[in-house]
Amino acid sequence: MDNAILRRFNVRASGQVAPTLVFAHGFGCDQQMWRFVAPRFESDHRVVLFDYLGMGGSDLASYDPGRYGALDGYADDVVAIGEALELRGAVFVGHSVSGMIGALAAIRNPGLFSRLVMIGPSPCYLEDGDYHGGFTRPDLKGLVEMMRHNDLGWAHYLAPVAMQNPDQPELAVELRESFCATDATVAQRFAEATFFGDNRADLARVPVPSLILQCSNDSIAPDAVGEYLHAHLPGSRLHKLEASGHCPHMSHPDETTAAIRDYLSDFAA
Amino acid sequence: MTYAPAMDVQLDEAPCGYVSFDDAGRIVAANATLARWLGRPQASMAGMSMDALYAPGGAIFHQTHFVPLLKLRGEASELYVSLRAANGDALPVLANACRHELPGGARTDCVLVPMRQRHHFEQALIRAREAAEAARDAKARFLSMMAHEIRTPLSAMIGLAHVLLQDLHGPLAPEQREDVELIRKAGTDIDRLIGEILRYARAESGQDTAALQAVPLDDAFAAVESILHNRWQEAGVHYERRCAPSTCAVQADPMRLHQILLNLLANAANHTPPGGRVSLDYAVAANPDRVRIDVCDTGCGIAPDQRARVFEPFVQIGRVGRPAGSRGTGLGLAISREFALAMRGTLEVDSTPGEGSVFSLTLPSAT
Repeated sequence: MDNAILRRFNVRASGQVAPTLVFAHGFGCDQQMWRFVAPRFESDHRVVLFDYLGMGGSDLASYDPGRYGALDGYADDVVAIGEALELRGAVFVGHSVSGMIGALAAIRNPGLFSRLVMIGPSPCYLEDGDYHGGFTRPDLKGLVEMMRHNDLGWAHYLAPVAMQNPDQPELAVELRESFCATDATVAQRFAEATFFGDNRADLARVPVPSLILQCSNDSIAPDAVGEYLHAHLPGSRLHKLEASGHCPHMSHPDETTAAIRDYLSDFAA
Repeated sequence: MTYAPAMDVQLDEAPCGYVSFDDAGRIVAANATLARWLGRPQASMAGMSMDALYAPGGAIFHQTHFVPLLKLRGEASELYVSLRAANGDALPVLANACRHELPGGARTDCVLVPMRQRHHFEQALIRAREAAEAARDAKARFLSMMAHEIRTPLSAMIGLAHVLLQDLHGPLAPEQREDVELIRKAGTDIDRLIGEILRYARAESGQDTAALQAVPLDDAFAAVESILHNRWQEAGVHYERRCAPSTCAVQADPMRLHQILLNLLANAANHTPPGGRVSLDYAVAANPDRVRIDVCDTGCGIAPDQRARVFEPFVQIGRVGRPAGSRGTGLGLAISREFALAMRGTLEVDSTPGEGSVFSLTLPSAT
């Protein structure tokens, strides 16, 4: 176990000894997004959470912008984490852009993961002829603009806040200080890597089976994108959730958990 | 999708926008003010997606930032979002929102205040910050370049002149010796100037962190006095340390403290005419946690309007009795002040033209 790597990426492991589920957050926040879903697997899985570099509780000081302009840098980090944890045949659960990051990691080191679960994934967000990724360059410019202006005001979010979740009091723990207050440079690089990335050509090389969880009315990963993925990702299963929006693991944790469990049990030896 | 019951007229026509939406981003209600800003019929807004209100990129921001914030914290405040009116005009707003879990499904209430003016101001701030960061990076690169590229050949020049002066390549004729001596001196002068400039630039950019420790004043004073030992005689100036030996200590970086004292005493020597006096003293200041070190001279003093400028970089004020041929960069006091600040201290001057000056270095006490 390489503890330096685990500290660097704020890796938290809990639950049982095996089998292992690695949860990867998407663009916009950090591992706290999994707090409604990940704990539900602790009774019979090892649950691993982490933050990408520069986000959440990971080591911002060692962040090198040059490495993170494309998804490859993030995928390399996932491989590093997987190797530090000595994973073999674990299940990778990636939200949004992490679906692709997991796919790239699996290509790099096929032994790490036996299956990928992708929540609201997209291999390419930009419009490209017949391919409708959903976004244009002005969209990305507008997004970065909004993020920069909010960077001026995010400072006050550094105070810890008790979570508001009356229907799940067992999860009422204080949020870590830097909730969603990602450094502006880091956030912008991640936005560029995510929304300017094009991993359609990588799909054919993904060596393990995958589950695509498609939300209804997901403006970031619309139905057409989910269908494209299913058609081009070998060994993939497409499951449509009733949950709408882009973060079903936050808005509809029950349905999301059930969908993941069903998939895992189908593959149980 | 049922439209919300008629809104209270005060909310409907309040000088702020109001919109309420569900977890799917569907608008449940919007007030007349917001509808007017957006150039949309109020009745048409119910059932519309929040995505339709956002400028490009906003829909992404809604899903990736706004929604998680609302779900995890239950509220968002002072969020900058960019809306777009029906005619395409941009409407930058500041949003406060609160999410409520209700029996029929969650609702987020959101109040919007336009910030067109502030938007321009913020844009300017962001640009200025980026420019400052770029300038700081450029300066750091320049410093690094100077340190290596300029000093390396300079060292070679000085070193080789020294070798020649040692007669290591055969004896030098008197005229040759004189010229090589000038080369060596010019080289060391440049090296010293570059050293000062680098030191100042590093101090000003805060690149070197101060290593603070308890430094006994007696030790610091003795070190500086041993270096300037002959200076007083050369200048024809009487020097004395006024304070008695003590155990008094300050919280300081020994190297920086040494530099400051050296700078202040050397300045005093340069600014005091022959027959004058220079003294070194200290006092425990009114705030018992600080110590004030005073370097006094009976030089020409500094005019009131010049006193503030004396610490500015590249400024040289009123030379009296300055040894001929020596030049300075005007950085000594600027560096000293940066050093003082880095050690959480201050460096100030008091002066009476015609009588003399007192330079006071105040540092945290370590006794």
